Amino acid sequence: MRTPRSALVALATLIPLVAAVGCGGPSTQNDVSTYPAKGRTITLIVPYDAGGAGDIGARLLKPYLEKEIGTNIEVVNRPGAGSQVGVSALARAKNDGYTIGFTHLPATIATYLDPARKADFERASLEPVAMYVTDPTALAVSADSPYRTLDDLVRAAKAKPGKVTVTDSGILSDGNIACLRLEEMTGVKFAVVHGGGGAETLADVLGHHTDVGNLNLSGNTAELVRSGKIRLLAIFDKKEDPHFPGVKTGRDEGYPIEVATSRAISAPKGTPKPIVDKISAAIERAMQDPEFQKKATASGLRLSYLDPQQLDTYWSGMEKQVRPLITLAKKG
Amino acid sequence: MEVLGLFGNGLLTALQPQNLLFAFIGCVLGQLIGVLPGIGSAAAIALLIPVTFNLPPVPAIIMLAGIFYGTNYGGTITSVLMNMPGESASVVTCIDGYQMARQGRAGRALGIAAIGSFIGGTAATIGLVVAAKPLTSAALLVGAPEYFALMVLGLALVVGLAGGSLVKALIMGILGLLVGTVGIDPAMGVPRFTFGRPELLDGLSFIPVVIGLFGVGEILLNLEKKAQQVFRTQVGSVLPDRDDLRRSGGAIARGTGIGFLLGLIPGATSVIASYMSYGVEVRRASDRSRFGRGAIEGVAGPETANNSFVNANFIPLFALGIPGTASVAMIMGGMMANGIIPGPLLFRDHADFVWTVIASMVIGNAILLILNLPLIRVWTQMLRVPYGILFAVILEFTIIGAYAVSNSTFDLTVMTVAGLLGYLLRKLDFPLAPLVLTLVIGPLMESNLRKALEASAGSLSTFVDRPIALTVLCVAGAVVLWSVIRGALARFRRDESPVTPDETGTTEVPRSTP
Repeated sequence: MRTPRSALVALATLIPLVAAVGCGGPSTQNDVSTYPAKGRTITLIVPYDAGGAGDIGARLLKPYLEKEIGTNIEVVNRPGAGSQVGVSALARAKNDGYTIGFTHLPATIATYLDPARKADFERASLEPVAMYVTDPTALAVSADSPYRTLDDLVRAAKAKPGKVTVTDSGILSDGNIACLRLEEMTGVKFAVVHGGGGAETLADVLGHHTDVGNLNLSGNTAELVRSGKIRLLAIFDKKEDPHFPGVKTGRDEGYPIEVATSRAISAPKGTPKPIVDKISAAIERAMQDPEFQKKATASGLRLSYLDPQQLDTYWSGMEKQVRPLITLAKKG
Repeated sequence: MEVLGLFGNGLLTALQPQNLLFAFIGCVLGQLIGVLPGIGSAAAIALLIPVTFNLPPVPAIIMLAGIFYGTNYGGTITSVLMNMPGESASVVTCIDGYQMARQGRAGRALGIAAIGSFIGGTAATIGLVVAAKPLTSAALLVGAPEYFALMVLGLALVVGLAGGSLVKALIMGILGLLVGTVGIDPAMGVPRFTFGRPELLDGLSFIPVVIGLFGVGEILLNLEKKAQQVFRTQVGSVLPDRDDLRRSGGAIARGTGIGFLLGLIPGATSVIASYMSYGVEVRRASDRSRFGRGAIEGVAGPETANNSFVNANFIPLFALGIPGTASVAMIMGGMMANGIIPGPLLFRDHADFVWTVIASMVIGNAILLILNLPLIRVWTQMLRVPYGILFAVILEFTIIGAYAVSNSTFDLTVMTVAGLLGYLLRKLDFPLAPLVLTLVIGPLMESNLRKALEASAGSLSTFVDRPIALTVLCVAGAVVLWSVIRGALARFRRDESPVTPDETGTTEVPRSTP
């Protein structure tokens, strides 16, 4: 069931549309030197509900990106089906550089790789523009859990196959992928519970309804760790995180897994390369604005810019990780 | 008591002119958003979060919170006056609230709703002051199996409450469950009944379905009548009389309790709280036939419950940093953007902030009550508009509301089909309430059932082994059993002394002489 969204959003979409029609004139698309054309608005599709973490992050960036790119940006929420609806709209949009959008990874990858989802887009439908936020996956337990390390967990799962419960935010979410990789590496079997997202997982961990929960590091995770309510067994990242002192990476504990939920920005396929580069550079500059950085840090955003080339490489790596897990995840 | 001292300090800060102003702005905005169908508090808060970047954190969050609880005051107005819920939590208010309006008791319906909302909201805030932490710990005992059991109880309370045929109610309930399965399934991510349409991947949108069934269906039905037969033009008193108070008092108390308990549980929705309250009132009533024909308890209980729910919803956020609903998640986003991270240390690290926001809720509820009672006279003037004009305006509102939900013309089709269906179902005397309830409950029930079974490796024993789940399921069983027995007894009595056939809620009300 979808939640109601705002008529204000409708208005916000309509106004630039009318403006665009009004300012018609001869089209200067694909001309990089005049991009963005004066008075033309860039649409930024957010494939999630207004007010979700992804949306707030986008709205935070908007004014700074507007300043750097030199025109108005409209954030348009096209939520539904775990981002499938919005990404599909992005892939179908005109590739003139006036529509860009968020393609969260691995959600986008899992959508087009899974034949059951019947997605009408593939990797080639999208042009990577920039990475905005990368939020590593971590395994969390309640403070009184007997597990203190990843090894404890694996040993317990070996002793009671299929009995240790692990909650994630949905099938083929980053947490699910971490868990499947761990099963693959060690041969253990968890009882995987597909939940509805971070808040639900947190409630399940704190209420002892699950043995382990997959959480991301943004939001109030650090606060909960600091208060001693939950403990992180491992973070599936390259290196240790200064906000989580003493928490080892998966690699350090002998399980070299790197998974995150990442907010990548893409454009429809065929958007001219120079325009893509121009947008990407503007995003990079906006992300370096000290005032923006202060607000982003306060909101718990883990900024991590990648240029189009680097994002493409990251995307390939993630896709390589996800592809073999599709059928495995369905087996449950 | 230390808590009272902290609350007192918070109250003093909340009463400072700037904070008072933003509480007022939030309440007024919330009220307006509640009136407009299709616009929910969650979206409104999201749009205002960037505005709060330029405010100090206290007034910013006071305003966002005001929007959240203010919405439930506004949602009632269109439910009562137009049979069109302005907010999903006010769906159930349509049943009796609208009938009250047609009988010329619109003022009283809105009056009791405002009073009940005030009591529910204030009582839940007091709960927040007194025992946030222990209450949250208790609420965390509710996991997927308990949640599923609660949904079963909700169904048991509501099925057959429309007073008419139990079979028809069951048919409608099952229809709602079926429609609720449209979209991507919650566990395995497989699309169901989407017929290849991307618009259906996320299921049918609740708001277009509901305003179609209720709002559009009602208009179609009224078009059959002569223009002036729809409403009695008098509006009646705003303040409840002694008889109203006698009937509503218990309903408000029970609604407060139901809303409060459900508000504590992360993941519940206020729609369920209002429905449960309605179900309880019908079950308790000695004369159930009054429901669906303008029973004031049917307005007082649910309207209290949804406000009590909303204010109790802050308890898990403030005590542990767990947002219970989308709107609260957004308020949490607003807090974090202002550098205040909700979590178990919030009361220690940001005591001034928390206590001021809590105190502002008491003030905000008072503002809303003061604002609403005189405004009722203004709102009800709408009923003086000739129906020929009024229905066109209502129709316009429903179209805007349905479109605004996701900026999608597909939802307009959904609303139109739902409207025709609503009209037909009403003509055939099928109750709409069970359909709407199962439409909300169905997906929640399914995802929690599947979560529970995933955790227990498919074993149903999880419902027996967990005492809370088992108890709730037993209560649900008892409720169903009792209604079967009661139905059999009633039939037995009816056979002895035949009574007039059951009337539907759409009885024509004669035009009054002004």
